[in-house]
Amino acid sequence: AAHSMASATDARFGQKESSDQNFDYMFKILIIGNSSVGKTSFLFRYADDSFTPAFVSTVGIDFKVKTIYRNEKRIKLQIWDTAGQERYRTITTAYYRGAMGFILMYDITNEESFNAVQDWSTQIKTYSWDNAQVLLVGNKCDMEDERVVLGERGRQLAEHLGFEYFEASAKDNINVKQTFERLVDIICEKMSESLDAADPAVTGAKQGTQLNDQPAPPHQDCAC
Amino acid sequence: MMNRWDKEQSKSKRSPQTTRMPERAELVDALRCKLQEATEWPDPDYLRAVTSDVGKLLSSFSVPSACERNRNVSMGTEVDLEAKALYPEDAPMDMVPLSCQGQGNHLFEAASVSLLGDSSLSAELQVRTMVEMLLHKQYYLKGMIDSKIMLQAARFSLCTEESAARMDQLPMAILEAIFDADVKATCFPGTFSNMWHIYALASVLQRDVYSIYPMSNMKIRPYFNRIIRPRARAGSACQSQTLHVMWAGESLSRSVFRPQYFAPVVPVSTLHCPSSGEALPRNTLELLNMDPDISYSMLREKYSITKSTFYRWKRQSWEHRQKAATRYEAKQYLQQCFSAGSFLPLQQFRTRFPEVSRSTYYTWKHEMLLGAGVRVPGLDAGIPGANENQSPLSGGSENTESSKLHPRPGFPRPFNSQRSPSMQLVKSFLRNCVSLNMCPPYKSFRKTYPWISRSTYYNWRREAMTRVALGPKDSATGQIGNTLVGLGDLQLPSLYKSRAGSDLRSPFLPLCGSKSNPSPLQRTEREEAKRRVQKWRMPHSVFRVRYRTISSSTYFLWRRAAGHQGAGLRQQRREGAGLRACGETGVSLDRRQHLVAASTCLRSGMFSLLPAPAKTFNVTSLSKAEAKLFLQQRFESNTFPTFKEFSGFYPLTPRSTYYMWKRALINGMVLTDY
Ligand SMILES: Nc1nc2c(ncn2[C@@H]2O[C@H](COP(=O)(O)OP(=O)(O)OP(=O)(O)O)[C@@H](O)[C@H]2O)c(=O)[nH]1
Ligand SMILES: [Mg+2]
Repeated sequence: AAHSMASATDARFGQKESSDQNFDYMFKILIIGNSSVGKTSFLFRYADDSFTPAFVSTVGIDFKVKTIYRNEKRIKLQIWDTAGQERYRTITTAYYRGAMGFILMYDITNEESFNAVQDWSTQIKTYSWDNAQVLLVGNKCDMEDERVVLGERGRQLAEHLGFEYFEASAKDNINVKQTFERLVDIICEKMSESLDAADPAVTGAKQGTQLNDQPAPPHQDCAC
Repeated sequence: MMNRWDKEQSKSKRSPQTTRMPERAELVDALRCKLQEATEWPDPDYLRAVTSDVGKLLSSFSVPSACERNRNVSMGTEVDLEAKALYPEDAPMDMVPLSCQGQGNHLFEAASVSLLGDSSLSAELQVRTMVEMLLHKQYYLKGMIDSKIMLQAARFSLCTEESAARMDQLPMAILEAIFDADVKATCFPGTFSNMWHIYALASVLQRDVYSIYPMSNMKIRPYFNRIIRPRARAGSACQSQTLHVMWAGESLSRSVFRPQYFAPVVPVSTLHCPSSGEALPRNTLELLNMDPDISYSMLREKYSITKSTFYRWKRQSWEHRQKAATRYEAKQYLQQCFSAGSFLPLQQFRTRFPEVSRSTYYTWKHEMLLGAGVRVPGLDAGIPGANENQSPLSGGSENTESSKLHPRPGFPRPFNSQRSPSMQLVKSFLRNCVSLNMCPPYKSFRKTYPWISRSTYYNWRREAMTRVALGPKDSATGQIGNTLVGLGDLQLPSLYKSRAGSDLRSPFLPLCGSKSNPSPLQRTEREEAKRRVQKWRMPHSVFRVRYRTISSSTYFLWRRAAGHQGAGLRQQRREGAGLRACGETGVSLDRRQHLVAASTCLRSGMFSLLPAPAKTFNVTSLSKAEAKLFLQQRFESNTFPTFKEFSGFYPLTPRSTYYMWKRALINGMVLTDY
């Protein structure tokens, strides 16, 4: 148990690479939610700034990488897009491990996708590591005419589940970037909380004779 | 905050072995960056082109192997006891899984350690494996003899237990998509490797890889427990050696195992290679030698040695210390294995600890069994050096009498000399010994039963072994072939082997407190569940998945109970404070000892009275144990306190100790076993 615990802890803090690496941190993020809510569209909008109205349901799983800069730090986001169809659900949960953030998405024009949020949330709690941060996103807010899930219900559910909440549109590029950046910020906040606690020790303590020297720790990069 | 990646990197850069090839490490780093960047391009052909270039560069130099650099397991590497407890009987006997750190499920770290003894090569193996998978995708998915088996294994790893049946139909197109994603992910840190990575890894190493899988999940085990052949094989003899890695993780029940990470597996002999000197986890000794001024309290914190032992060691010469430490280590190790549910066979024990004699081994074994509360009929008789224990064959009521007859020292005779027991009794004694894997060698046997001939002894023994082999259904596995193994090297009956041994008690072995009690496994599981619910506040959903056999109402009951007593940590503190108060009045017992003893008992599936509580009570050591527990839990819950906060709770603990513990935690050590 100690073993897995240790690696779990590491990944929670992000991957700080050595200085010759091409990033300072890497966060693994998953987008989950029912089929056709717009997960793939959302990711493509964010990573490639593109959108297609055609629906090609995702098979299995894939990821895209996007490097962003926050507070002079290069943060590499490894964003996994999962298949929402019920029959693939168990496959995708295998990829929950190691994830530091989740975007849990529903479609504001689709009641069923909203009703499934609770289940997805349970899924996260069951298969991911503790402390993974979750953002609830009501997508397709451009389709106000067809809305069946009021913003208020989304907000309440998010509050109930302890998540933050956004309404967004992959099509009209509303709140897409903001969603990812907020998620990154939440992860960073969590991280710097731990760093706050951890910082003096590692720099200050050289007395543990049995332990190897450590390189200087990263500073509170993520007070972003 | 450190992470493993950083550490491994910097460690490997410092290690003398790798300083010879800093450029190599740098090159690998650069190539990995290139690959990572290439994954960001929408066009998969670009990634392919870059990978192909990287592949060409990498093929200009070969993977180092243990032949070129003598493999010594690096200092501080320890046996992974959890993995060891899961190590299957059909895997090579003279090897052990080691603990190794890394990110994701660290297949590459494990492979590097198995290959070279340290993790210096993990990044390179990782990059090479990615290249191999990407450039030879068709071979792996369709072209191998093993393709179907590999894909089936991939299917199984992608599903949770309950969906295994449905996964059979997972179409090839999806598997291929998942393969692609997995390949891309392989150039990033923290990747989770799958069976197909092992296939590619075998090709990278150009040698067989023995993928060792615990004796669980029997339906799918054959897909994972196999020798993986490389795509092409190297010519040189040294490279034809098989590399071993093991699937390790959590044993959810006797038959269900959840893989979580990979462990390197190395020959026991490499752990003890004289030139490495430090290969043994001789931590205590190491500490003493590195820091002669180390205080008793510090050592005690880490290794819970007694004060007298510590001071004895301090007085002694280095050689003496070494000896004592080895003995201590050996005993601890044996005890740990025992607690983990398996008893190290003599042969393995002797390979690890050649300095410790065979008779000492048996004495300890005996001690542990008795300590764990197993009544071992007739055990003492043949065990040289066993002492102070009553003669079991003389039966309950006569115990006192016989111990009067044979007060001490030396080992008591099973019968007093006036009463020569029937042959039948001696035979059954021997049989019991065999069933407990404690068959005395003929030499000792003869001392006790001089009237029984050598050939009779061997005949009986053979008979007993066959009986054991055919005996209780479940213990049959792995026993039959053992008749040929040397004396005392038999595997223990299944009772000791599995934590779930409760339902396969050996007929020869009365377990204390059996029958009406819940099985040890259930007890352990419940304890664990309760702890997770109360102290770690495990969510209900997780609880339901993890502990199917425990009802939700129990969950809420525990939760409520915990709630009444305050949140987990506060609860801990309160308990500690309570004990401290008691301690001052001199009635309490060392809580930590108690817990350790209790958990050892539970884990070994035996019940017994706990050792008598220590009369002298050390307030400082208790609060230290408590402080460690506190820190560990806060670390695990990711809310590690600052020194200021910490010292608010534990004003007696010096700042330096706090930082020492903190470093230990950051380094992945466990301060206390709860
Ligand atoms: N109007 C509108 N349509 C959207 C939006 N986002 C996605 N869509 C459309 O919704 C359909 C489904 O989108 P996808 O992104 O493929 O859905 P998904 O969640 O990835 O579905 P699965 O891969 O099956 O899990 C497509 O036809 C998209 O064009 C949006 O913000 N507004
Ligand atoms: Mg999709």
